[in-house]
Amino acid sequence: MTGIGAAWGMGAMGESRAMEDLQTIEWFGMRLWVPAEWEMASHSVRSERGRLVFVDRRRERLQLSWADVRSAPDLAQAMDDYRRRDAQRQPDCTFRNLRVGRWTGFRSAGAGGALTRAGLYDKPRRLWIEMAIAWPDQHQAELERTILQRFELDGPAAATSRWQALRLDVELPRVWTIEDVDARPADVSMRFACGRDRTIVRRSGMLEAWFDGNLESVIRRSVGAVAATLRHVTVSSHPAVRSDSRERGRGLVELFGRPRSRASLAWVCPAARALYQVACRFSARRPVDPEAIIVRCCPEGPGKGETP
Amino acid sequence: MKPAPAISAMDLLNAVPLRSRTVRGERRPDGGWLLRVPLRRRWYTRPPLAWLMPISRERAISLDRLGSEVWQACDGRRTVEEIVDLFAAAHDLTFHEARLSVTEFLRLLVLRGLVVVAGPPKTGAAR
Repeated sequence: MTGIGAAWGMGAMGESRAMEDLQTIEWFGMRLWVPAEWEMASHSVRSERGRLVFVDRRRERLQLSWADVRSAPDLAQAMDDYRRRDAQRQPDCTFRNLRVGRWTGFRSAGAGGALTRAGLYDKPRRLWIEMAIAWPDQHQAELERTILQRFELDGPAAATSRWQALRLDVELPRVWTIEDVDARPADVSMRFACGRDRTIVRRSGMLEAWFDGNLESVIRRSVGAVAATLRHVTVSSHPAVRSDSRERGRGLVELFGRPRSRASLAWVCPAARALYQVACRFSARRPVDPEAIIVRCCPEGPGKGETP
Repeated sequence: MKPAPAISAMDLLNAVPLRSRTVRGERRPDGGWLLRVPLRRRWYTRPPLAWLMPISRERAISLDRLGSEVWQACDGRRTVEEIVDLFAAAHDLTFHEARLSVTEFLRLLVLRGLVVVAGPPKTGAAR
């Protein structure tokens, strides 16, 4: 056996390994479990319409797409359209209907492997969600069922939103919306917005290559030339450095404008072998506490900052 | 001349990088390597011009500790995928994080003549 099949030791052994090693992904209130080897290769930060794409070492494996719709779509019709399109592409493929949990769809199997397509409509959130899973080597029924069955959706009234992907796990009040995600090797940051306020959560890995162990210098670099007061706090039982500063406006802005403040937090998680930073920029009238933003770096603590 | 077909991502993972034999390397105290690559001899690097101008016959390239890890892993036996796995395990990176870093660095090594990359066998069963 060659390719990804060999790499995974396909068959029953490969399936059980993939089943044991699942990672949780949370995005826009959607929670799904996928094999840890499947990495997020593409993401959207628009709540109205977007998609997440997961790849294994060689190929695209799963695509989750969502769209805000005004009325319930005709699920059967949508799946029929897909079926017709797939049949045109691969005339020799066979179809089998699928109904797992809230998902309705089908599985097509042909010379190029199998493909699972399923869709669901969430009435409370008026969200149309589609999932496509590719099985290029061998169809893994148990994994397919687990992915579809364990998929969860937060209700529209959830107080907090959690973002768990790309080795970052952030939970913050629902008023914060995700604005941007910058994913580079060993350096991932998520930027959230709430009006004019911004919060950036960043995870930097490969510490041995660049970090000298001085958290204060890291936080001073991130704050820039602004004079900041530094103090030592504890986050998830890790020693952290917190900086608070106020930005200076120019001329009349300084005199009459709305002063902006910054609060940053940095700590190293030895278990994750990474440096975490939370930086908030906010209006002085409505302070934002970076320690109130939950960043789960390791299983040791809840992620909530506690000042000693 | 017709350009060579671009190597696919799958072929690249199956390819085997090999250190150039003409490169001389010496280990630095910080864990990095200093590599010396002989330059191609051009007409202007030969006497009598070479008597008049000091022209270096080799180029020195310094690798940091991370670069040295990849360089040393290019032993002509490991595939790119195996090197990526090694690098990912050593630095707690995901496969694709390590793949981006390693393949980009390998590209630079190839451009500088430090490494040659042998493609996968034609049968496709590389591993």
